[in-house]
Amino acid sequence: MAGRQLIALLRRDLLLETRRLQTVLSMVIFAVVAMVVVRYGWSADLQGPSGASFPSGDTAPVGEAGPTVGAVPAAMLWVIFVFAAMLGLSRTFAHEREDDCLDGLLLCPVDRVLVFCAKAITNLALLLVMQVVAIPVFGLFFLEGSAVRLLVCTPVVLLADIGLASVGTLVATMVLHARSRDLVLPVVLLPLLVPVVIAATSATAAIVDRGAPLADVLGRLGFLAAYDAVFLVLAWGTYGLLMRD
Amino acid sequence: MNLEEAVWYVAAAYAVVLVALLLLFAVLARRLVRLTQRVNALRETDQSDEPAPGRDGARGAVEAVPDGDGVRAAGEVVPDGDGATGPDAAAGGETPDPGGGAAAASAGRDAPAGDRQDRDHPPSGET
Amino acid sequence: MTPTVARLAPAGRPASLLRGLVSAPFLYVAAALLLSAGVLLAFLVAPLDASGLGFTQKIFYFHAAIAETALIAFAVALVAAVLRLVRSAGPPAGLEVAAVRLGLFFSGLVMVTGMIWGRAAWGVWWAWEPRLTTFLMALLVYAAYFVVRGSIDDVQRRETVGSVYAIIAFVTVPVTFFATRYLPEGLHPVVMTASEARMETSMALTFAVCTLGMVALLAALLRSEVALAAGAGALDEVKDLLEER
Repeated sequence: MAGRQLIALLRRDLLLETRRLQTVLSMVIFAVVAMVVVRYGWSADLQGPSGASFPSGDTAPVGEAGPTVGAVPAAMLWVIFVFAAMLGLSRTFAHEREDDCLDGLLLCPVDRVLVFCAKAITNLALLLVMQVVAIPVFGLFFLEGSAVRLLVCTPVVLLADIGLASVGTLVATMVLHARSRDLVLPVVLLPLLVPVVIAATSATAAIVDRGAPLADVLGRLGFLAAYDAVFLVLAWGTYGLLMRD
Repeated sequence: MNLEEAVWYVAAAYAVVLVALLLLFAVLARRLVRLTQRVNALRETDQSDEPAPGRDGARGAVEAVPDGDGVRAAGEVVPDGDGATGPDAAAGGETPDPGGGAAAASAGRDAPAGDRQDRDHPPSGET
Repeated sequence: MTPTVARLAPAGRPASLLRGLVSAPFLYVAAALLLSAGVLLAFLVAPLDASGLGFTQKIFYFHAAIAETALIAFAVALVAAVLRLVRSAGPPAGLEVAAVRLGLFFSGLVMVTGMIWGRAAWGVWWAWEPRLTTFLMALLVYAAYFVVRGSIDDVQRRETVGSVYAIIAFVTVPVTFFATRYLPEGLHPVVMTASEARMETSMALTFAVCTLGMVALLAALLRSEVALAAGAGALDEVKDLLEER
């Protein structure tokens, strides 16, 4: 019963997203454009008189102290992901509001938690689609030789995405009726997402730079999983209250 | 770090705490003063609105509102403990309650006793 | 007192205001006595720290006491929020807001005193170590509480969303509290453990007196804030009524 309701809600949300690919397209374009901007700002900064430009894949072995590897690209990657996610999250309830569907949705005799699940899974799907494009671009722009290592990041990306989508959907619901909600959403969401960004960044950096030392990565993965679990439980407990009327 | 430097840092830290607490108290005091001022301002405007001083004025204030609606208005300000104010009070407005009207009128005459009496009346919307 | 105001603003709300202020003075006196005793104990009785911190360790007594108080204030907000959501008639709405506000105030104080101590003890104003980072995160998350509340016009909805947010934000508090214990790279010493207090008795006593004093101060301030909020709320109601007539 609940499963069928969830599937129905999910189909509806995904259909709305796929019919007009506006949201996912803007997320992808934002992520790629942001990486291009960072890459150019970066290389302009690094090409000093010493000629120490960024290493291309065949001259400098990636993993040594080249300027294009290390925590900074990983941090940039996750900051871009968070802001791209924000684009999607701020649209979480856009259809409901613009077409006055919210009342109809609330009138449906379904558990509110299922509404949350549908919205969160939709947001997760948007994030994943965006990352399927953006992560290869990241590898191409910043990693070159060791881009294959990014495949190892898959569990990190998945766990971090679940955190982003669940917290984001929860906060998007909170500011559903807020004035200037597009302003409020990032202000509220970003501090809550700091732990995800920190953990995902250090895990990604560990994988990309140091060939994934297992102990480091496992610790971060455990933290991400715990974070996801805590917020999913909180969402489960409070979502009915948030969408009561 | 020598002792003299350390003393400066410690003094600075304790001074920051002290100043912050003083500021907090100043803010609280200001809020209290503003609240008092608002109460007084309200009192003055209310006094000037009064058509005639004394009992008649008080009664006039009640009777200006038809059908004991003023009563329920008086009942609304009384904290009814369950925090339900808006909808209940609005619902109450639709059922006239002459008994409550008498209570409010007496409340106008002898304020303290009347207040207590007023509080004993539950918001009539719930009856 | 004019009759109409006496009738419209009966003894109920102003009396509760008075009650709050009458019982608060006792707490204020207790806090003042305990905190003065704490200062005296810190400088006259507690021995000079032998572990290299020297005289700067005197900051600890207030710094840590304020930190604990800030976390307690957030816990008060959590309890108030849960009670308000579970039972519709819980503690007054002012309590949760006041607790978050005072928690933020004390957190700010922790930041400033901590920075001063950090400069004295470590030679830097700020270090990206777990305790500082997590406390800053908690500070930002709780600061967003007021952004959320301020953006929602509907009173009922504002209270609900605020309470849900106060619950979610509390996730940062245990993270902050345990950051020194479980993350190895920290600079903060673990002073209290379950099995032993790694302090001399007089130091522990001083710390306990300071903490008690700060908590008493928090309680007194909470009472005053709640009383003020109740008074302002009652006044607004009276004003609305007068305008309606």
